[in-house]
Amino acid sequence: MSNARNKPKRRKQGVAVQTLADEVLVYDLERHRAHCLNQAAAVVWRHCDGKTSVPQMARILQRELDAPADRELVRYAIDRLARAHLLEGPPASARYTRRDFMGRLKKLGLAASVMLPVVSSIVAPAPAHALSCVQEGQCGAAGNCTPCYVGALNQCAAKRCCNGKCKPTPAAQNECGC
Amino acid sequence: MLTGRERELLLTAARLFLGNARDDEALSGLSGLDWPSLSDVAAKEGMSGVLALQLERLARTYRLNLPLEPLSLALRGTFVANGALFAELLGLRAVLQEKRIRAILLKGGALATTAYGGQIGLRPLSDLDLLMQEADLPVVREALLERGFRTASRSGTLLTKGSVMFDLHHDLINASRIRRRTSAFHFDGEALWKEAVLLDPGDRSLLVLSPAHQFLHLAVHAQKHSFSRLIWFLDLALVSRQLDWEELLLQAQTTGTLRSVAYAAMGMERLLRVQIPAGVWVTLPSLSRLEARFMDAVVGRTAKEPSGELLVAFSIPSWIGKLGYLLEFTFPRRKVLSDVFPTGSASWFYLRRVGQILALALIYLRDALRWENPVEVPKPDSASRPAVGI
Repeated sequence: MSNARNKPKRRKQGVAVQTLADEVLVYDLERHRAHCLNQAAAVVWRHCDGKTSVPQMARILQRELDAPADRELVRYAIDRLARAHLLEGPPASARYTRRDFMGRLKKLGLAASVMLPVVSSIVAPAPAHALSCVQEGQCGAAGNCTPCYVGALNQCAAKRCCNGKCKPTPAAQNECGC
Repeated sequence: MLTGRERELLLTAARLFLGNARDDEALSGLSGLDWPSLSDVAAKEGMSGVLALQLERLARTYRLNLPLEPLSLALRGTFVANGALFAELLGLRAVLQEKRIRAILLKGGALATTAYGGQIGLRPLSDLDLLMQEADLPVVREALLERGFRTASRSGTLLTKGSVMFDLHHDLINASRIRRRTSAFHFDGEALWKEAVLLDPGDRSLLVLSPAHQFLHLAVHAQKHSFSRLIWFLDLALVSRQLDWEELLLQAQTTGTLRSVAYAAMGMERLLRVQIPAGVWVTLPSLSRLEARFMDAVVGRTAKEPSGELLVAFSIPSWIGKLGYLLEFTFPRRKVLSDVFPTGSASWFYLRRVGQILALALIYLRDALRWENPVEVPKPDSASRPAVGI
């Protein structure tokens, strides 16, 4: 087995990382893709330092999540991370399917929702959540429902972009479904 | 307006982020909250990410079931939106390197990668501001146009591509919009570039301002917007950790930004419990009644724009200068208006601006008439603490 597979290394260049209580968000700046790693995937990814082996990661995963974990579970996580281009080196060839793994977890009697490493793509939420507050002139670029202002920034809570104009929230709700 | 329990929780989250509060203060503030209103207020104050981070951590640590979905969504939204901005910046950096152009990343873009430790979901950004030499601006604009951007302003310095926006500057305080701002603030371009530091040691094309220049720039910018977003105080508090206050005050004297620093320091101390060295208060100017009222409104989160921008007049030495500034601010040149509001009418803007200022004057007059107690200029602890060298 190659070192890249046995002691994988996470990408550090060209990614932005946001660590949360139960998840890690990773933005691939080169591919313009955002990923969300659940706890199990995040633990494995954090320990992909090119030095920690798969069996060591299995022990770490078991300790950190307080649930049984084995090498296959770690390999599954590595496979998912590699497919999302979050590891250095070429992506692994497809080896595991989610269905195969769910079956295996059930056989082992593990809590699938906690232990199954998941690397999911994040779809940008509605612009109202995504952007802070823009001037009316920027409404076209920001999209409908983005908080906006005309003249004074204090209007941000009361106005939303709607068809390129900055309108009072009720009007924007009515016309643009904000 | 931030009121009651929601206001307190938002402030506690900011203080927790800075290490200036304890978990139990936040936990005691969780009951009886109006959660939808908390989410709205957090978004308005630019604090959704920080609040979500703190509440998710508390919920996990203390096994609480909190309705955090709107805040978590907002954090993820900010993460994705900012990721798109930084992805475009990565592409632009390659161009800057190739053409041997240097640019300074300003404000939120710089802070998200430095002060917030690269946790880009915490600091909402509407655009990335880049400062460069005037001669380099057309080259960078051309490069962005080649990368699919479109100009969004007549001056061609605001460029957009979908939700991604770059704002190109060759002058830190936008004196091209209000020329008399230079009577108040005078940043030495040469010093800015000389003291700027590389964002990434391996790339000489992209820099950030030195901590002192960054603090002064952020203070002036936040004042311009009447400190209307709490996140700006958090930015200032994070940058202040890297400051040599003595050097900052020297720079503030040189650049004419002492009053802006006074407002920023006062807000940081009163809102976020940031400890400002006692000697700093001795050097900072005393505030007039009007400025003290403004700061009360800022701390109460009720300050109205354009109060802060009007207060820039206090930083201009002569009365003629002050008057000239106020006139230029109230009636900007038509060229400036057509750039900022390409679709609006200048006459309508002038009328509205006069109305805004009259309304503001009436509010202050009403408050002044109700104001029975004499003003105590809020120089926190300066009276009780001995002045020490800084």
